[in-house]
Amino acid sequence: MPAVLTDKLKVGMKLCQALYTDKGKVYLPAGTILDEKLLAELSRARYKYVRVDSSSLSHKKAAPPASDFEDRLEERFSRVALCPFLRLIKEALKAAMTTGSQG
Amino acid sequence: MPSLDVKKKLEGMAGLPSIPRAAKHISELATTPHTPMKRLERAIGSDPAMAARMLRFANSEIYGFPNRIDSLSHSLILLGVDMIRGLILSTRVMESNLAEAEALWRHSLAVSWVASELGVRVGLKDLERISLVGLLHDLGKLALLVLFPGKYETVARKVRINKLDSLAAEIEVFGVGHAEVAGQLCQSWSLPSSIYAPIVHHHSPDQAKEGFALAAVIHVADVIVKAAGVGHTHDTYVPPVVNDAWRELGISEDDLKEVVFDAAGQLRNLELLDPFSG
Repeated sequence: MPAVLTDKLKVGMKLCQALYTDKGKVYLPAGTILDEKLLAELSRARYKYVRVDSSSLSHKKAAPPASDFEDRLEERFSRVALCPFLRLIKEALKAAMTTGSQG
Repeated sequence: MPSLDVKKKLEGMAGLPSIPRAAKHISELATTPHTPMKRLERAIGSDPAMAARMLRFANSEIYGFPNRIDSLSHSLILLGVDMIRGLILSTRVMESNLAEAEALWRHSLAVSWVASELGVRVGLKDLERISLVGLLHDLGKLALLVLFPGKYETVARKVRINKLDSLAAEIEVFGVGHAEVAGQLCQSWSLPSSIYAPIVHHHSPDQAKEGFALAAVIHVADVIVKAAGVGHTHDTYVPPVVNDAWRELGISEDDLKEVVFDAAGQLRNLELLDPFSG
């Protein structure tokens, strides 16, 4: 569910989370497909970014090979003692990579 | 203690330069008729130098507002359209060390985003301030880079070759780290402690007398962002971590995993959060 800056939204993107008004009412439900009118409304609204369905993004980067990612990850963690907190972060990053979320 | 040289230069520092494409984008918005204020606010709120400039003027003695202003939206309302335009059009632009300044900006934007996500999970109320403090947390690095480009290169060398973490390298070279530098800068600009206290303690939230939760959120976000590979050009290593910060926040392991998992995918597509890319 990538977050996209409001100014970067494009026609055809699909909201995967509802947007709410300040009073807690649903402004746009999840699943709404953005059109020109909604883009114009959102450009004047307070939302800094919104979450959209990744399948509605027009561009996706190819993930680099997993071995490159693991090498870089090890390098980034190479100067710090691996406490439980950092171990958890490292494992979550690896999990993201294996499911294709991470590049 | 900061060296006299650092202290003196910080005292005379009226503002920080923006990266060129941020300045260009925000100037274009400011000079385009009928640009919605929310859109301009979002753009300003994506550039640490410009956001700090607005806060500084809103908190200056010229305006004399009775309370310190710690929100960007509030600052813009108080300043008014003409003043905002004037401040945008007179802003300085980074002329050298662009690669480092861009990397620093990208990191700040990522920390701002991850901190907001963490803030939601731990139930902090003021998401606008979390996002703002995340954006401004490395203001001290930008100041050191602008004021002492040569010495900053020495810091980079110490990180690369001597394997020091960047904060320790800064203290060796300048006698002070970037967090303290940012604190001094914010104080000299009369920014409220609700902004500068968490910035000063983003590497040491356990020592924060005020704003512990926000300092801890920024600390954890900074670690996650660096771990996910959005560091600075010379400083790509995961920094030493204050172990209790995330436990004190009361965030569950599952929530933390979800934030990291989400951040990993999101930070790979950082251009989706980059208001200044085409």
